[in-house]
Amino acid sequence: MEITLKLLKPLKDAIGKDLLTLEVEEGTVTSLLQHVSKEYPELGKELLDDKGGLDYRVNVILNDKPLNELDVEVNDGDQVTLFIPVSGG
Amino acid sequence: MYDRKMAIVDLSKGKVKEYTIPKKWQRGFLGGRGINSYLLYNLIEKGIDPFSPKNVLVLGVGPLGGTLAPSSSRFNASGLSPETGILGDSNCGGFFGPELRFAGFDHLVLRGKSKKPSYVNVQDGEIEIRDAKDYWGLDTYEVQISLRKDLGDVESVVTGVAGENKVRMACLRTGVKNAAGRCGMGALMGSKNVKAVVASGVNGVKVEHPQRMLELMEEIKDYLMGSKITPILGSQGTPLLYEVSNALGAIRTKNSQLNVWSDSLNAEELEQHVEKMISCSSCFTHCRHRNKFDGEGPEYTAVGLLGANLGLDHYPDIIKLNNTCNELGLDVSSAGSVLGWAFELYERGIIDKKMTGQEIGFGDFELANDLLHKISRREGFGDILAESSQAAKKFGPKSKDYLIAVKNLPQSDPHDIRYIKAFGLGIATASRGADHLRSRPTIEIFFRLPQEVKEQIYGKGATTDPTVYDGKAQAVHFSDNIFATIDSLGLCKFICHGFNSPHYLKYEHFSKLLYAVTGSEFKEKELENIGKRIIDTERLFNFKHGVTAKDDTLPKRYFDDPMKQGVSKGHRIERKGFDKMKKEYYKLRKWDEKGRVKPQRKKHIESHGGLP
Ligand code: SF4
Repeated sequence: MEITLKLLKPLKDAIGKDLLTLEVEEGTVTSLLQHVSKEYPELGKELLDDKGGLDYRVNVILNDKPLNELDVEVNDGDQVTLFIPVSGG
Repeated sequence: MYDRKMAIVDLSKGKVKEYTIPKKWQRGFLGGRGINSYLLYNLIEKGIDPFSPKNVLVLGVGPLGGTLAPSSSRFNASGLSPETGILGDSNCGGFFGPELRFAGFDHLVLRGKSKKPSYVNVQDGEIEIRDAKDYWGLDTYEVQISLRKDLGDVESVVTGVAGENKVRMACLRTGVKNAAGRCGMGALMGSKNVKAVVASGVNGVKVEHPQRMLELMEEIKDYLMGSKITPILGSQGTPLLYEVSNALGAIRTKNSQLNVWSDSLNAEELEQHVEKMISCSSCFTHCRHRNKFDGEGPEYTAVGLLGANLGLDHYPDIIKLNNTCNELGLDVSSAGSVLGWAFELYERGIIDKKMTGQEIGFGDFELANDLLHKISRREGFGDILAESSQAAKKFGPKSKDYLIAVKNLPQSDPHDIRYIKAFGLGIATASRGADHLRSRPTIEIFFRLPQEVKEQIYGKGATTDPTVYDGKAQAVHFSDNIFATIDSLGLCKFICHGFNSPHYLKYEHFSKLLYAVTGSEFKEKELENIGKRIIDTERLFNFKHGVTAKDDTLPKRYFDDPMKQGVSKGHRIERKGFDKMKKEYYKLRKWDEKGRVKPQRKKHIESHGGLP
């Protein structure tokens, strides 16, 4: 199935692209992110923490829904957005 | 605790009186915002007009200001706000704060009113009121350049043309862009016939344990540079946030009628217009831009409020509007909010051409730029807009339904708070009105932060889901306290635990830095209690000047209109949920059910004594 991954700055700088169209097996957001981290190790470095899980600072939006649990199924045509929030004045 | 000095400059009498800051004040309020707020509580009478000579303008630096401590660039400018009529207080970076300390003073109180245009010169322990006729009428860049030409290597904090004309949203500026932006402190300086306060000194700041300070700085530098967030801020600055807020469907657009706007304002689109990144004093984060249009900025605030909020999507236009505000000495947040408000009122027919003198509306750069100039000179319709939220008196009562302000202060940042409920509680209860820099629990945006980490930071009962009302009082209470403390130390809150990251400076770091600099021990709990004491002092000040619990509220639109687009579609603030958060917040603060500081606590605060 086809999933679109949208990356916001600075994550998109890791691979020089803000949109990736991925052909993946059925699975969850976790398996999708493991797949993408393997395919794009530079992005993986930004996404994963020391234990190999997704760094809690990386926010995930599946279509229009922000996730706090990643064991959610992804379906053909879904868009997953990843970003790191900061604040300021 | 070593001796630190303050002075009261009586502009009406042309006299200066110096004081040693009482140890009790230093222990109870540290300095910067804390001592400023305590001074306001003691010096400003109930019922005065903010433009009365009886009002005071206080400039104050914290005990870490001007040292090696990271981002120790900040000072606070405080007074009874001309924009809101309550607490006016604004924190500012750059180089002026440290220089005021090098010149020998930590706090400066300007009271009275000068008979003719003047500036206050602080040099190596001496203070003089001088003639400013050659500087009156100059914009904020010109006056600083002229002062340097005439006086040498000085730092100054100045008011622009807007402040001279008592525009209620006029800010103070130092350097090209650093602003004590909020609450009309530039108008307050202008009302006193003062154009600038100038500082220069060769004495530096005394550090009790220099060796310890050097070791500590090595540790802290590694700690801060180890955070993922520091390099992001250093390369992108705050405009990065635009894309984040937009992805969440939470960017204030066209006076919050909409909540998603163009990708053309993403930070990467700004890069081509940036010359380089720069920093304030003692800061290795360097989060600011020098732009290719002879100015500095824009910050996220300007991108959102002079962009999306005005229906503009072309970066060069927004940079130019940002530079115009900088030159004229206008607060970007209030200016962008007030223009957006007026455009919607015109669209709705609540105001018309008879009042505005021309057609006005969203998406018109030339119009926005022209109106900013007119506001600063109080020309035509600009004279009404110069009243900021108080323009509602001219616009009529219906206009208030569309005003995005709390306690008369237009909301500071471009984030639409209807989605993340704690952000709503934060701006509703903040001591200066609708402002994210007082108490925003930013890490509420980290949707995946584990519950135990959340509770470790905010306290028991804190919740992970940003869209629920439970457990949000803890988040705001924690942030309010620690931000009050850091504002009183002289450090920038961009490196404060809980503002951008759970891995930034905490009370334990503050304690170590204070010991190295002042030689005094402050326990972590004591520093947290200082934050609480400052919040209570500001609450007492506000209640003295007419605030009540009913003012701890939100713009009508945030309650009544669901968001229309994107991730946050359908979200609004429910009144019942909001009241629950507010009640819980009052309880954590130990205020009574009407939001009042209890008499025993008032007595404790007042026990710190008056002027020596
Ligand atoms: S982090 Fe940014 S705003 Fe804060 S002191 Fe450093 S350069 Fe100035």
